[in-house]
Amino acid sequence: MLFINSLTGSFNIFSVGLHTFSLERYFVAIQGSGYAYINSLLVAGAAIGINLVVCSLAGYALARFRFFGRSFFMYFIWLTYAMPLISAFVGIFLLFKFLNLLNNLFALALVCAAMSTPVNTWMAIGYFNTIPKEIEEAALVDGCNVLQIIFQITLPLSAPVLISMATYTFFMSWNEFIIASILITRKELFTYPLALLYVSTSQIAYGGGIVYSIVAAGSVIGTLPVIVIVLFFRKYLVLGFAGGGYKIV
Amino acid sequence: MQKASFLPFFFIVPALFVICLTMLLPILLITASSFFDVSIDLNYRFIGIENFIKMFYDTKFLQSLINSVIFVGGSIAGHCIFGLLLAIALMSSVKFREIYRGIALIPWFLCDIMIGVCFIILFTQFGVVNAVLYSLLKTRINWLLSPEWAIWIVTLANIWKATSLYMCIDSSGLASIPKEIIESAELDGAVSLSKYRYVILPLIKPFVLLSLIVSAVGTFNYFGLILVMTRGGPLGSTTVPAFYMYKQTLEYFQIGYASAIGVFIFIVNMVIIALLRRAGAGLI
Repeated sequence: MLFINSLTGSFNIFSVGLHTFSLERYFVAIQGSGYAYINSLLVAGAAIGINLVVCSLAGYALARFRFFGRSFFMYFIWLTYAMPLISAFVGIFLLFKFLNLLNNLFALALVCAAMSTPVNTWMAIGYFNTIPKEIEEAALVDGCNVLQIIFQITLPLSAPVLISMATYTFFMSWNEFIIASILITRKELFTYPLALLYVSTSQIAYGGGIVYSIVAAGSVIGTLPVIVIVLFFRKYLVLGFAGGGYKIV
Repeated sequence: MQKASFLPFFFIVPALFVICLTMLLPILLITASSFFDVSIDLNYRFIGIENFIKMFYDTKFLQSLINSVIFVGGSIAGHCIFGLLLAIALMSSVKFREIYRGIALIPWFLCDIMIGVCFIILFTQFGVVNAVLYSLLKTRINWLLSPEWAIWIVTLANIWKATSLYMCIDSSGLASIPKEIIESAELDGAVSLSKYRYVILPLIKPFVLLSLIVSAVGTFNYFGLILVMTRGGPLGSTTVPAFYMYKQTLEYFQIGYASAIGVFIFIVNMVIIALLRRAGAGLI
């Protein structure tokens, strides 16, 4: 079933009641929404950048130090993972409207980063727990301070989990269109899914409603980066999930 | 472990700031604005608990509650059962496991729009499923436009989308079972079915419980597929509370009322988590 369903998405660019094979719908889709590709990439890139820094720092602190409130923080992070408050979007809408940040791509990147922060921090903690402390203690003896240890020893050793975090954040922000549809209302700032919807609903020639074949064509284009990344970084994704330590129940 | 006094707090602060900004603050704002009548340009007037009273007398809201029982219940069942089955199936065949896992993970990475469009095309009046149905039973059902079936199609789409995530959770659980236990059970004469029933399943109960919790709360909060596929559905039959909240915000501009629904959703989330953890603690 998985195969069939994932293939029909591509087949439908060819014939949905119209029985015509043509790449024309691809061109329409690209024409209408190509610019949004860049917007999506920007948002995803910014979200990845924020997340890598923020989550590896937090993960390092939670994995290596023992301080007051540590277990509370870990439970808090688990809670924010288990309870995805997407339905708090009204609050996000109110907050960003109040801060006047509504049509701001960076604000969207921040929200996307925040949505994947719990899982990323979790991955980081799990991975940092597997790096032997002796290396860092040796560096400490040699006179490094903590920041030097993090950036020159721990992070270079954590390439796998950094890639995991980056890919996870990329997917979360690329596919996120509910929050994007609330936060971004100016046409030229749309991310890719939004632009796709907009293009397909504005094709008046087909009598209104969503023209599914164009959406399907655009979706195939939109899936390409996802598929490429999944193919290449599959190993890291599974590593991230499995090593994240799902025993915290 | 090193004992530094305030340094770890500095490290945690960025992550906390990000999380609080997008999780805590919105919740506080929603709770606050649910007691007001807020309009789209943020003019508010205080109306107390009128929003909540309106909520419980609103037939559409009550209907959305019933819809959510089907949607969330069906999704939980599908997610956990199929996730477990897939994880167990992938446990044995070591050769192509990585490839199967990669393929199985794909639905979760697809955009909601794509999955929605996919299922719409499959289930339309002249789609694939109806073609099969017509050749077998000589009938066609207009799946997405019929009030009885639409919710099940949406539930099916949700199951298809996220099962791989729960398969990952269960896979990591299965991988954490030490091989010696399974081997000693086999030595003691456990055949395959009883091996699963008495040895493996009890050992992965924490992971199944985690799947239950994540699935329940995640599905209850989620309305992306509904937005794409049916937009609330024929006669409101696919509206769930979260989608009703979306409609109130963006179509009726009743932000105060939507906030009240949001508070309700939040409370239900916490109740679900508390109940499941209580039930799970008794089982573990």
